[in-house]
Amino acid sequence: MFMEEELGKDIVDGKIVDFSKMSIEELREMKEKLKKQEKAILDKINKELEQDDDELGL
Amino acid sequence: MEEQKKKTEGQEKETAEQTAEQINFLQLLKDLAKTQAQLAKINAQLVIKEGHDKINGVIDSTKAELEKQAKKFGANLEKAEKDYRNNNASKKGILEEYREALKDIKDSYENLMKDALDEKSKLEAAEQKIMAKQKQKQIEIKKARKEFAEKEKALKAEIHEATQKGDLKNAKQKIEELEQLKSNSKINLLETQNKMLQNKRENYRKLIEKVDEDYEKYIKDMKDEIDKANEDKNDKLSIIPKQNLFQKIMGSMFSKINGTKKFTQTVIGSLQSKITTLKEEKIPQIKKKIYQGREDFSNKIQNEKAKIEEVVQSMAMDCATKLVALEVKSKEKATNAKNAVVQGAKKVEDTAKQIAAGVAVTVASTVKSTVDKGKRTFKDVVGKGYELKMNFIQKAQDRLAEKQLEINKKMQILNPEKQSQSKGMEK
Repeated sequence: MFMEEELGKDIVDGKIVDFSKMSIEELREMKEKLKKQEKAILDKINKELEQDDDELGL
Repeated sequence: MEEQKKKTEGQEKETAEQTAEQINFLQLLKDLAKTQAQLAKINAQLVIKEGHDKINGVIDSTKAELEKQAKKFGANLEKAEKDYRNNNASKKGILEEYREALKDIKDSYENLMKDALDEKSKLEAAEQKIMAKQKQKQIEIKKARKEFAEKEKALKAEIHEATQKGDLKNAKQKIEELEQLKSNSKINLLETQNKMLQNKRENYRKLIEKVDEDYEKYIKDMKDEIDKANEDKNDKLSIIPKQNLFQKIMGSMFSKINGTKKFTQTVIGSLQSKITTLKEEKIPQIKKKIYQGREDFSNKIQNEKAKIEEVVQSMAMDCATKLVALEVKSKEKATNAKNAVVQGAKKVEDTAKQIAAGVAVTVASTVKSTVDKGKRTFKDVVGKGYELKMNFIQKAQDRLAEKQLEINKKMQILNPEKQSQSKGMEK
């Protein structure tokens, strides 16, 4: 699983990226992008849980 | 018989749909955990790179300053560095020594940032457990409401029927049963637990965002601290005071006599004494400050978690008070038990505990003391955090997959013809 991978490497948008080879600016940009991605998933989860609440009339 | 079979089949189908819904929900949590692991890797890389960049910048400017001063003294920097290395017990050059001292500051800050990353992962894992629990709770509420509605409908029909027949004894008994059904209903309890989970989840999210802000602040503090060390050094290195043209010409001529020796004594000497002060005085102070910072961070997180739990306890007490009051009222009506109210207080406490236990989330807490955290790499911290989340999600998914298999088996027993037909269709 994860531990077999390097700390620097990962797959983002289907491409292997090596974070250790990125500049600070590139890392900051990637961080922003992933934060947006994280927020989108959190929003989806919130929506699903809220939807259930609405269905239950809570 | 056929009606019962249809009812069971309907129930199993509904459970199968809910299980599939939960599996899909867990997939969302998996996606979240993966994105958060990537963010953790980037955060780790940012600290490493920001620190390296800062140190490289300082060393480059120091080297440029040394070259400038060497020129003024007509000295050979490389020769001075070689002499320094040969006369030094560690056999390291002055710039190498300076780099190591600055790296010591960076490494100390990295420990604080590993704490923050570690804690952030644990808070995220707790948040995800709460999410999964909330999803489960909502399914329980749906089920409880459906069961309640069915029983209520049946009892009301029986009351109506008994009243129509003039069987008042039976009607009264069914009314009491209906009262009991209402007071024993789990719906209120489950709904409160759902609200408690929602509240807990929102507070955990706020805490995670605070840790994120702390993390960025620590990166800035680390860079500022390295800058501060450099600023002090520059003050000492600029040893040649402002001079007029004549002084400059004369000074330039005199300083070049025995230049390398003078350069080593004054410029290299002042940098060396600066490094010694850094190692012996400043770095221990910085380490002490960071050690305290780690303790403060750990305490802050523990306090914030305790506050979240306090809100949970208070909501549990409110709910328990209402539930027990309902139960006492019902008991008084049904059996006229005199001591029902007296028993109430203890009952409220027990019920509150039971309610709170239903929303409890266990995630290995942060090591309280910074002393026994041992030596950890960023890879250890990021990997541990990822596994913590994935293990729980995977276990939950496996349990649900087993449940799905069981439902399929039951459906096959209930309706063997349909199952074999669908298999035939697949072929």
